[in-house]
Amino acid sequence: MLLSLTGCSGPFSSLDPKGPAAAEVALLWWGMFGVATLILLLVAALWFYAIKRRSDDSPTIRPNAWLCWGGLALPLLSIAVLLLIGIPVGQRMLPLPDANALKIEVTGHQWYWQVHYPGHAIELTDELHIPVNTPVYLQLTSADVIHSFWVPRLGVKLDMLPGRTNVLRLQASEAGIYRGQCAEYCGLGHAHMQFSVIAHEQATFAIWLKEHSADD
Amino acid sequence: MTDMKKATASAADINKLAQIWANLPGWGSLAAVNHSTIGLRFMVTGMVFFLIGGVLAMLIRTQLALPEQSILSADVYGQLFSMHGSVMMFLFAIPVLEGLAIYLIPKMTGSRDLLFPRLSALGYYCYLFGGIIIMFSLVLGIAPASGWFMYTPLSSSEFSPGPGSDFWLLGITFVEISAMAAGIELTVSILCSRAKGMTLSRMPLFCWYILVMALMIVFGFPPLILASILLELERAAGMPFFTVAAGGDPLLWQHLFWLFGHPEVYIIFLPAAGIVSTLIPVFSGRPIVGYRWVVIGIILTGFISFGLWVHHMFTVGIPQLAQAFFSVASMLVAVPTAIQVFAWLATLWYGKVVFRLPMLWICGFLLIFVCGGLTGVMLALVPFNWQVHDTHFVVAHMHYVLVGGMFFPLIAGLYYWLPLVSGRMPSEKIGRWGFWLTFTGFNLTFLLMHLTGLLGMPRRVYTYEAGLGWDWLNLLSSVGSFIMAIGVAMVLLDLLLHFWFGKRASANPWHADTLEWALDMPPAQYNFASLPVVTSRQPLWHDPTLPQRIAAGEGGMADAASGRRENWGTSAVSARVVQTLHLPGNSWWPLYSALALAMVCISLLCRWYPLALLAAAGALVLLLCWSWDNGANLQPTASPGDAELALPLESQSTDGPGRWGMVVTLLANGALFMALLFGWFYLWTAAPQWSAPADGPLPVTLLLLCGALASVAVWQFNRLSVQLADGQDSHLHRQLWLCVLTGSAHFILLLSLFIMAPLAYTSSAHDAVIMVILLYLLGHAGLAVILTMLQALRVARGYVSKQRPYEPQVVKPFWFYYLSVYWLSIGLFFILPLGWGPLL
Amino acid sequence: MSWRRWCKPGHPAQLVLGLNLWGIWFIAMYAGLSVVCQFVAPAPQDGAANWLNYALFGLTLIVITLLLLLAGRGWRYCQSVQQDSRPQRFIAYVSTVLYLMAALATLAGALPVLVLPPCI
Repeated sequence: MLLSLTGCSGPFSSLDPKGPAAAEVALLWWGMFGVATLILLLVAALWFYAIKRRSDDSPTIRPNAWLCWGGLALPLLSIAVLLLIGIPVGQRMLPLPDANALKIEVTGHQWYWQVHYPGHAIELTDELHIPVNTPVYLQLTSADVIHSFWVPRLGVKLDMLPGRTNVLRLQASEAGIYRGQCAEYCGLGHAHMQFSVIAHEQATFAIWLKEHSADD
Repeated sequence: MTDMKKATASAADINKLAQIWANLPGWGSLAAVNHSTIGLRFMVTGMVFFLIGGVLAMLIRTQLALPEQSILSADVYGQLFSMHGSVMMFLFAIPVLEGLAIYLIPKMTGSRDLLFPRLSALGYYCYLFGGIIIMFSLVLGIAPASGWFMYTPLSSSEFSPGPGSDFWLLGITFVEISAMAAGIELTVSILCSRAKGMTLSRMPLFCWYILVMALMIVFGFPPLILASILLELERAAGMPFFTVAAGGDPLLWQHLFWLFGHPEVYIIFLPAAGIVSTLIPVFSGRPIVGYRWVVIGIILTGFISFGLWVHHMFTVGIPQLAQAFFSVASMLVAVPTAIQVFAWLATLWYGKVVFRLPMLWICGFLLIFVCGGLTGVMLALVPFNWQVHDTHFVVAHMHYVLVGGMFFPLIAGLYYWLPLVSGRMPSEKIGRWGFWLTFTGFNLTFLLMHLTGLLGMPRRVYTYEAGLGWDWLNLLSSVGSFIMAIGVAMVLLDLLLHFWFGKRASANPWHADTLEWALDMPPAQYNFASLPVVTSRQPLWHDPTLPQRIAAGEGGMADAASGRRENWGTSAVSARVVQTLHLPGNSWWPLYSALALAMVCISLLCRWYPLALLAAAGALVLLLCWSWDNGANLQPTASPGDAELALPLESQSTDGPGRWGMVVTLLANGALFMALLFGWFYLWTAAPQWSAPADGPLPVTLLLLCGALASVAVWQFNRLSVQLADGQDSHLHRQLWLCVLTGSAHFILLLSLFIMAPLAYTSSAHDAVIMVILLYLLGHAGLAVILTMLQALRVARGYVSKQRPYEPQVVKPFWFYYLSVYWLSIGLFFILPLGWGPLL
Repeated sequence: MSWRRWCKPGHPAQLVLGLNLWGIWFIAMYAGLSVVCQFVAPAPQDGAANWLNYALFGLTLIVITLLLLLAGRGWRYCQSVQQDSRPQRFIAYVSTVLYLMAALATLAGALPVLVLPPCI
């Protein structure tokens, strides 16, 4: 509700997350945004004060202090904090071996997505069905040029390269329909290369899987 | 030598200097090589391309202003955004900054010209012709449409069958000749011809920035040149470097491209930061705080920027630990930048600031650039990057860094140096309007774009659905971009109008400290009537009478008796005067060579290969004629050097700028070769379907024999050049021909091995790489033989002798380079896999 | 060629030597990691505790030690040199700080080795 007021919602909005990966990144963003704004204001304020002030004959701040604190301490400290927080976030998105994970194969084509559920003989186009609160391991590859798989509200993006298979860990925390799109320029149809991820409650998903496996 | 004889510059001397340094009249100005002329041509041409790139941006913003518009088709939009990026990067940003450096460096370092004037002219023509060729594709509607990054396989012949990609690959490579030329020339000029006493520690900071930028060009551009050659070979000859099925890998393109592409950002930023570091002390009325620390920051930036390229590739699926290396390096580059920002801040803090128009642009730069730097640190964080990569957030970040970090300082610099070029002051009023419109428009366009990206709008989409939350953001961005365009137009108008209406500038109008303000406004073609001697970091503050004394001929080389373009050659660190350099004057060779090279480029584009071969041969002949027509040695019996100081001429010594130029060129060449080895190593370890035949395609014993011949040739050449340096030339002519003989035997053996090798170069990436490496070796072996042959001919004509032992010392590094490259390739390509083969 | 002169603390080659070492270290880390992961990848379950990460960190420690030794040498030279050879002292000072910076960059770059599993 608050989000829609501030204009942060939307079908592709990474600031309106519905999956653990996207949520952590959104949190990272707000944190970095706050700190960066503070630093920008600080530097700008110092800069304009430095221009306005009259130079004094006996400076109270030694020249080296500027370089040590501003040039070395400030960036090194910020980087250290950022990495300490950021690296574990990245680590939690890794597709480490997991027996519970659902595996889905997605192949990018100019300009559609071919989806296959291994062991279930289900073939879909531009549509994925997943259970909520279950890690889904997407095996991404491409049949022609490079594409990039991206569902902004659920998680991060990963490229689909011809000849390679990349594994993306995706998880939805709420049932619903989430939109995805190609993020790597792939030719004329790039702007319209979109798809949907339909997240079901776990029980509903089991039924869906059963029905559709039986169809074939 | 320190006690310089006082000579008064007579009007006759000045006239004679002006005559010696003048460009030819009328059409003859096309033969101009003087750095002021070439520098201004670079900048004016760059500004024209900037306007073209700007119009493309306007079209893009018009299309995106409202959702679901169809003003442009997906195809045209693809061409527009690809060309916008390529034009702004390759035809505007780099050439304009090179032009500025070419114009300013000799003036700042107290020289009369750059050291390879004809090379700058060649660079300019390659840039101009290449730019026109690329523009032509846009006019014909067949411009490259796979992005300025040209990712394969989208840009390969299968998915981009038209000539668009070829225009990019050939045209940009052609333009890059100018960047390489500038890189080599600026490096050598800064190191080898400064004012007497301008030690490294007294050099203006701008020269440090340009030195590091030039060296970055030397190492940064070769990977892209190599990548472009490989991709063009794949498109034209079917050599599958980037095709998975044949053992290639599209990721190799990305590695090579960004190996260039990231340093490129700093190649653009460093000169701009150099402008800031020059202006802030002037307007603060005090030397910069922490000169040494700024130098540290510059060098640190130069290096670390080569260790971040993978942050453009965080989403391609590289192991996270490897990404972390690049992530940390990307963040670390904030340290040297912060050092510079706080050095500027402290300078303002301790100084008395005079707030003139250039300072306004500097302040705009600071706000925008710091903001872009901060989002840059965010983007270096891997998980955040995974989310916003290839969205409008990155578009916003990149424009904050490039427009803020390059365009704003550039305009500040243009305003600042304008009085020097025209002798007139810019208008403060129109200039301020221009600034505020540009600044407001820019922020409206791009600040909002961060949010557009976070709301999920990807890059490079030609249209978007209504109701995704992106509508109002895009509309405002488009409005902002038009405001910015008006601002830029106003600035350009101001710059243009001031040539007629500007107030006459007084001498040194900004009370600056560097040598270029000791010149007339506008400066004479020879810059300094007599060469200045420098005793401090701020020569004009330290010695306000310096301009008068230079004009009065109290410096060096005040008399123009020799009738040649002359300059001092100085030692690299302590700037002692060590030799007299004779610089070449007006010459048609650069134009002719560039025309031949343009012919090569065009015939390759049209796939007229016999003509291309012919034109290439023509270009080679022209370049060799050029090398024969060497400025210093037109008359083999020229008088010995500067009588006043008894300095040797370059040709009478065994070391000089030509040799430095050779070494720097070989460094660039080596970077290209290392990129090729990296490509091979990368494909070998990472290509999904790499396969190498069990037996090498070439017989190892013959390769070893071939290498032995090359080693003998190098030994011969080394011996004769050492003997020559020791003053023996009795057998020189015979020795050179013997070396030619051995070298030719090597070349012929290598050629026949190449012809007989069963290389399946269209079906195997492995064989294609071997083919390229053999061609590289053959080309170098052939060139080494030809150069030695030319030396033998020059000995016969008396250009080279024990009195003039210089030229073989210039050729020698080339032979050594070739020999090392030969053994390295043989070792790595043919012998190493034999041992490692069973392992894999 | 007078290679020995290049190694003296006041020589301009020192300005780039430290960061060149950093560059070589960087390439060795990235290339080593990529090659090992391609052919004999350690199991991802071990996390950061595996022979590859240990080896990479060991390499880092060696490089840092080397850089610190060189920085110390440059610093002693700065202290000892007299005022009249200013450009040499300037070069020695700048290269000393650059050695320290290179050491810092090496250390910072290697820290993820302690946390992340290598090949995933």
